[in-house]
Amino acid sequence: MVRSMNGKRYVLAAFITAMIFILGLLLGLVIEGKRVQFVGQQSQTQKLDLSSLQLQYAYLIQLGEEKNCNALTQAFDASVENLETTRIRLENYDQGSTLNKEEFQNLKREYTQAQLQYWLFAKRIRGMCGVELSTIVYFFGTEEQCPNCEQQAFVLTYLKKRFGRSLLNFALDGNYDNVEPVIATLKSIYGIEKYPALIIENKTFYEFTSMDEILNEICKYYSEPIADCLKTNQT
Amino acid sequence: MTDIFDISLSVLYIITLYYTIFWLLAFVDMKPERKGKLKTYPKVTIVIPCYNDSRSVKKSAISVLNLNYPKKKLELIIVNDGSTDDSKQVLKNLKKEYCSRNISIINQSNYGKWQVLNRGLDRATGEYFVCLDADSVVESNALINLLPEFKEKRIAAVLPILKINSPKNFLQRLQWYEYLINIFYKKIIGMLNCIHVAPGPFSIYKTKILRKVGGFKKGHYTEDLEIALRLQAANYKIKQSFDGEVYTESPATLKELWIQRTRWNRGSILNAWDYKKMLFNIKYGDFGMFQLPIVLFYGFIAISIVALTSYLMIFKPLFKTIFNMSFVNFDFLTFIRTYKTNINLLDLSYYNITILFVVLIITSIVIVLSHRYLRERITKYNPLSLLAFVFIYYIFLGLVWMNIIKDLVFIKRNTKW
Repeated sequence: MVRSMNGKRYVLAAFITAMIFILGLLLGLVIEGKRVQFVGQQSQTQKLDLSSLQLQYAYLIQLGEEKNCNALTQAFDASVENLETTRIRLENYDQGSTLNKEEFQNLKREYTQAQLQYWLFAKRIRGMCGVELSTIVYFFGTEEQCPNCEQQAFVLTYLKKRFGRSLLNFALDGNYDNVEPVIATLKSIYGIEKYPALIIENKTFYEFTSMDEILNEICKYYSEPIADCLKTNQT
Repeated sequence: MTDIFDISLSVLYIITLYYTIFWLLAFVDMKPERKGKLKTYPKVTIVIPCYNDSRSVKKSAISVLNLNYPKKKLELIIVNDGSTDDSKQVLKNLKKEYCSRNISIINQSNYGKWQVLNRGLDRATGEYFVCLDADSVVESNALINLLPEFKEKRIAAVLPILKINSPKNFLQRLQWYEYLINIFYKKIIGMLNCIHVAPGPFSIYKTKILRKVGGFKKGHYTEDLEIALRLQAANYKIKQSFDGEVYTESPATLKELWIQRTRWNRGSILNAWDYKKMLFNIKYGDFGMFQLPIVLFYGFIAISIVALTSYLMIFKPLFKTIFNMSFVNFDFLTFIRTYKTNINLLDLSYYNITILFVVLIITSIVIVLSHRYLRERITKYNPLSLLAFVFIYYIFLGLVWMNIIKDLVFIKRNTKW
């Protein structure tokens, strides 16, 4: 005796399962589109922020109003923090993207340029306002190229939390040199071939740099000892 | 979707989704059955195995004696399987109290439940044979509602609605939901003639068929699974009814539940393996091609889903955080002090959300339908227990399965199965 089977039900179940997955993929594409839109809007805001900061800077220089530097550095720090938050988002979105790779790449380029503009701007502000500030430019690579990059980023995030406005981190994708020539230029100037690599002010650190090594370096740039540096010196 | 774990989880998800959709389609195809009425009252033998059940056996027996069924057509056999408590005396008193009824008490040394049922089967004079566990009670109309389900010649067994008897604690309430969903599930797979277990409390068999297939076997201490698989192998049908309720006691502690589920699940995998000749065998229709594979591999799927979900959502991020924290001297305080909420819906993983959404939708449908068809209110118990059932209970079952597979693969590797 052979039992009966409803073949149509097997096919229909497979079809519905496939449809649910297609629906999931479509939902993914809609969300991806929204992400591109969101990061694009953020990029516009960043550009406006930077123009505003440059305007403030020009104004202060012209009027010799260094006493108002505090407002400028505060706004600057907030902008850099926003920039970094959106950059991390952009990296994550880009990793999971399917159809919008090109849009994300363009946005990434915009953010890379913005990072470097902010980095240069930070040096100018420090010069004019005399603020206690150190900068770190961090070059990262893919997980295969750079198994320690995640830990390096974690250490930098931690230090930013400790130092607040006194430390500015700028993260750049080292593999982006073929898209954004300025990355290639920087890599050539600082001799960067492997990741992670850090440029702390003008000194380059290759491969993973521990928290203590970073502290030893950045603390040199503070004229008045701050708590974290004192702690490091004691240990 | 980056590594082997994500891909494995997706594959398991697709398999589970496919099975669920298949079952729901079978449910959609389910035609309303016209409920027949008994024209004659066939004789029915009910066997109650009793092993140290002195506190509950009387209640079970009385529920049988109170069945809305002609008294002359009911034969009650209670087999005292070497109880060491006062069951013998309780049964003696019961027989005395109901001396006008057809009650046989058999006292024997302890042989195990399957032997008890066979002893009852040997003595049975009824056209139908019913087993009732001594910790269960049957509602008065159960028999009269269940017998009309034997409409076809090849129906060998009809199963009642099995519910937890007055769940008292949180754990029992979780099982309450589980039992309801299980009955609903069995109704669907019953339509496909794919039922692989005929539970102890009040499953009704045709005595003739039961004898023909050789009665009960030990079946790795799950004779109810073994007999169902044997009936399937002999191409008989097992039907789940939405009528006729039986109430059973359930484990009240995690330890008791762990032991019970270990026995059940171990039994299901070992018995399924014993009947592997039906596996992916088109001769056995949906049962061989669709149901038996899931019975056999359900444990592996359950373990894999629990293990992978726990790894991806709990352990991987946890280990990563601990590892990363080691580079900053485990200064958690700084992270806590400077924590800022930065929630953006676009950051959520739409892949995981889609899975979660689909799982929740299907779970909700199943919960609503099972309550509706079994005439129960969803709000009968604290909603927390329902939430715990949906989100937490499967972890427990996954752990039970892990333990079973560990035993089978590593410790008892010489077991022939």
